[in-house]
Amino acid sequence: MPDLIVHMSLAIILTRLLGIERRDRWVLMFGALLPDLQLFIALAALVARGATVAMAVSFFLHTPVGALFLCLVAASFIDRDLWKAYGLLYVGAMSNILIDSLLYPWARPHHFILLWPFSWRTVGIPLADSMATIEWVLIIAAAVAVARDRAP
Amino acid sequence: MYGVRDPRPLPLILGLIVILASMYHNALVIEERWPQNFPFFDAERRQGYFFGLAQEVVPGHFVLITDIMDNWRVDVYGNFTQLRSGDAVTVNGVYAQGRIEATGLHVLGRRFMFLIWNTLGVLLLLWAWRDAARRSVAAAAPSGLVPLGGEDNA
Repeated sequence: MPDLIVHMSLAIILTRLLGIERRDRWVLMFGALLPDLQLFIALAALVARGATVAMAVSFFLHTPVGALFLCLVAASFIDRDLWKAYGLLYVGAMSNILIDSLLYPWARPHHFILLWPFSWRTVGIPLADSMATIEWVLIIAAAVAVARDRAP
Repeated sequence: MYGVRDPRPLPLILGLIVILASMYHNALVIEERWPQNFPFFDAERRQGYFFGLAQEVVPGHFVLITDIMDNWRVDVYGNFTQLRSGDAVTVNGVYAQGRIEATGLHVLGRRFMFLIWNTLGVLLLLWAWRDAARRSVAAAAPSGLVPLGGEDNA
């Protein structure tokens, strides 16, 4: 799966493409981290109730609809205009969810139940073979973007 | 802390209520469907994503454990068998190709790399946060003044 370094790299690129102010960029990057918080909830549920329930209670945070509410909770803690923070977080979260769906069908199920709660159908684009290349392209592009920012 | 505030109660409570209700709902749905119609099975591709510990194994079926131990299979008696790359597994009587990409040391190596990449990702986020805080303080200072201790102290 794309690791956090890849999610952060994609978020950095998005902040540049969308022309986000410097002081707000970390909010979008934090949003790109949010869907993966389901892992920590899953671990807690795993200890308490077993693996099936662990997946049941956590996967939807990694869906577009689940992220709507996860971002709402996170935005309530951010010292910006609520809707601005919410929008930035959600763009970041969707970048996470959509790049994960490129691993279909080789990653874990929560990456592909994108239509929840309307359908349990798995949705994704099978680009797993190309993912290693895509990941490196993103990491290098983000590094270039940061370096250009820092250049005098 | 920079950029973080006491939570606004309305979105916080609304979001938490929906999230907790969804967790409860999904737990009920998935326990009800398990295992015959477990939602994470793609019949068209004949590939399944099954999660289970030994106590959840249904007699007569194999469970492919992809997330907990990566490359182990447990049989009806609760015996664990190590799978090899390319092994097939049987799930609910349906032939399914397991996601077996690595075994043994390769798995450990992948876990190690996973940890490194994720740690780097978190560090990158913290760097962006600190950078935003420094620039915000520097921008707030009256023009011509340098923060006490120089730019690095901003």
